[in-house]
Amino acid sequence: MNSQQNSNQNNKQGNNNPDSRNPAATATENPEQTREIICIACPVGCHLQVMFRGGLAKDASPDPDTIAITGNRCPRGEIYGREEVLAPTRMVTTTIPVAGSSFARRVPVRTTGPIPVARIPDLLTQLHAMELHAPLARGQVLLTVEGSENSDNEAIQVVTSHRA
Amino acid sequence: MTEYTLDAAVIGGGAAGMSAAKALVDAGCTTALVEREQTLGGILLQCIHNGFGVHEFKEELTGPEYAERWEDMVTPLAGPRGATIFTDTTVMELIPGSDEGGFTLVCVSPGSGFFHIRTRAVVLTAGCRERNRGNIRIPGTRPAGVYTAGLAQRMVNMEGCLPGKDAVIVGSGDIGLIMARRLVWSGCRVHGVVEIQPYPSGLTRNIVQCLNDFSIPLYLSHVVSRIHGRTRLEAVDITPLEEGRPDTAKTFTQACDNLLLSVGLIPSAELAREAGAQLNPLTGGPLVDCRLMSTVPGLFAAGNGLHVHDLVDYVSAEARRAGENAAAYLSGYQPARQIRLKPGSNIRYLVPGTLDPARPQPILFRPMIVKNGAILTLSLDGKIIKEQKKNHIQPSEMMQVDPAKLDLGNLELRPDSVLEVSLS
Repeated sequence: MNSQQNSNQNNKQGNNNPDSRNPAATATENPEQTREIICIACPVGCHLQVMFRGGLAKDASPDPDTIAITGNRCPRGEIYGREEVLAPTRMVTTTIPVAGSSFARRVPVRTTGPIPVARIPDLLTQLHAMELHAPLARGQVLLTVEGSENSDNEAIQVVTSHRA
Repeated sequence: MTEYTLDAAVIGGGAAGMSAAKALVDAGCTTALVEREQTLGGILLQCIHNGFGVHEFKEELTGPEYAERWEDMVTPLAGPRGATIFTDTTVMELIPGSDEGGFTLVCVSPGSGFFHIRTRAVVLTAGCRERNRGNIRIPGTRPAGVYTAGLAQRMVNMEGCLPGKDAVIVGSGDIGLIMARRLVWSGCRVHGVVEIQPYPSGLTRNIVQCLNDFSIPLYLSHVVSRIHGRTRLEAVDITPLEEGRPDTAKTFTQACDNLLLSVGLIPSAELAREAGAQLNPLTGGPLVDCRLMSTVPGLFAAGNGLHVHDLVDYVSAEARRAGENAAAYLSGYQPARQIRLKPGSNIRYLVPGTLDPARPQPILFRPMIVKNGAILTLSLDGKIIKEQKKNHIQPSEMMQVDPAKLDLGNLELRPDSVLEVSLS
């Protein structure tokens, strides 16, 4: 049905490049991979080529020492590219039904910071199963996101982003 | 009939209206703030994603958070010497009076029925509406399942109902992109975003986080050429453009049960037009002078009701200026002279249309080109007075320049001087 090929680059699929720089490495077991990423650190939107080894197994991260980034016009691109292949994170927002409010049927909620992309589907399932009751204030903590603790052991929470 | 008499009225209680009302009250004017919904906040309440407030509050807020912060600043202003907030109230008609440029607002609300508000100045902050299927003339049947993206956003985020299970989105504006992610996160499939231009019209960040994250195809230089389905939408035809013309041989069909249109916004300027204000055909909003005042004396406009913005922070700032200018108008200030502002190369329009050298205010505009390393040039009567390098420009990002930094006092200004803004 879809005879047109997508004109946009599909950034999710890494290309396995044959290893050319280091023939000693076992190219079949640990090949160099390249991912195309558009940097969003600023509006310029540099197209980054992030090269790395490892991370082929499901849920495995690339080897941080092998990451090499080209295509960035500034150092922020380097930081963004590393984070994107090592531990991508996103803010999550959604709405949850609320009973007993005079003006709202649903209350908007947000994470207090970016959470690991892999945790998003479970979090959404958890949030969409909730039912809340008015009155609610803005910033009320609804839950703590499992597995979101940073190095200081601070966890990301889900809070209401409007009263209801 | 009940009648209220105040110094000023602000029509629309969203981001622009709250800011304009606060500025008016802060300047000592009694002010009516009229909002048709039950709560202040306007369209911000359905924009649940984050990214608002970076300029105004120096942090990234969601739309509802941004709205409630403003509500928290405006609500305490209510009182006989400050603001009178009319929620659940629609302004049916704005009638300019014959004497001294006063206005009568014909209002209606479920609680109070018909009533009048009389004022000497009005700030119109009624926001904008979405362009729809009729505006882009998609051929085909007229089944259920074709929505504007903002309406679908309201349905999903505020009412809790989905527009369907299999979506196609027309237009790569930010609302359409954000709805793509929203639908995927709500369990729907999004089969593609179809954009007539060769470049995306939304922010790069939204292309990355709303489309690429979910491997949603972006069909640049493509159009939806037909809608199929009798009672419910069943599929759309998508056709690539070759040098601006549809290449019908390459048309393909995509099954879907809902089609979301994110194809631009138009200022809601009906009240201004009916009150006799001249409109700017390029923006769809009222033509305004250096004070953001329309051609009807005492009628000001700001925010998306003046011209469509992409950053709410700019809306709040513009509306603050409109409120301050309306207060200055009420206290008798008239600009001694106004310099005409002219859009130069690669700039579609400038808002406002003139500059008061005694009180210079920011000039907002939208580039017509995508470019890295562009030069912004300001020339007075053909002589370059300022050049500024811009890292990156694109039509989806509004720009502004602040002439307060131009040192206009040292320039030779004639009564017929023209300041031109251009990009190269």
